[in-house]
Amino acid sequence: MLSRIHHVGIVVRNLEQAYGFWRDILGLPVHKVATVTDQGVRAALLTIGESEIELLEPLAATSGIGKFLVKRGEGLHHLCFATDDVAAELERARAKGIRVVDERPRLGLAGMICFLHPASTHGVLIEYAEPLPEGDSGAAPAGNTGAPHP
Amino acid sequence: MKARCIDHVTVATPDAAAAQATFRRHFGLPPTPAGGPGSSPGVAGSALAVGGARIVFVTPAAGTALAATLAADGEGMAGLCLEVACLDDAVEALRRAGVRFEVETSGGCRGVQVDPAAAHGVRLTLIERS
Repeated sequence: MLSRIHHVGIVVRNLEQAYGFWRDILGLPVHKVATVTDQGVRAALLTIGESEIELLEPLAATSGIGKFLVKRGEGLHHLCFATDDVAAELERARAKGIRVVDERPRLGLAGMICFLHPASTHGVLIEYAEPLPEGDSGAAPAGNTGAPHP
Repeated sequence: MKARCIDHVTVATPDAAAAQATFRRHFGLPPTPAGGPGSSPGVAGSALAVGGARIVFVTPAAGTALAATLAADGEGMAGLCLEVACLDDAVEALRRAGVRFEVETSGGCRGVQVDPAAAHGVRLTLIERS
């Protein structure tokens, strides 16, 4: 069951510069930060009520997020729903004929995650996230912000 | 300023009703009113609830900035609306920081439309709910 918006992903050129608006002006505390070299991205989660804002900074223009930035500029990237069972949601999506990006859940910054293809959702890149228990962070060594770039 | 929660995410699409139906079918989200503070003027819309937030589907009227975005980028996420504790404090904080914005009134409620250049490309609206 999808319980809430877990986060809204926003591509930015530079995290520190983005903090100047999202953290310092809007007053959103930074909850988690991770650098994921194999994904070519640095990401930060900022808490807002029951949800978060995820800022994504590409480490290289050739990464998926980097290509998004070159093509579209800074801006909204994806919408993530929280669920208590990401595997079941992924299976439900497949059964409904929704195109999926990930064949199985994987570890991401927001917990166990998967992405649906925007072609099935009116151009909106949808992520499902099953948050991990506090202290069992998805950010560290095996970390993966998860953000794909279809 | 303290932004309290996500009020809604706007999805721009040529057919708001069809997009709402797709999201309802795919995700089982219940319908909810689309209007209220932070809704874009000159658009037809429908909405779904998810937790304490909404997804608002809009079909922009011709000639609006949102219509231009839809034409350029295709359908997809087009805006983010956050609730703030106090709109006057938000206005003051934006002014102090030199951020450009416009105050607008919709449905009897005030909102602030932040310059997307300051909000990292995001069409961002701040609202205060009474």
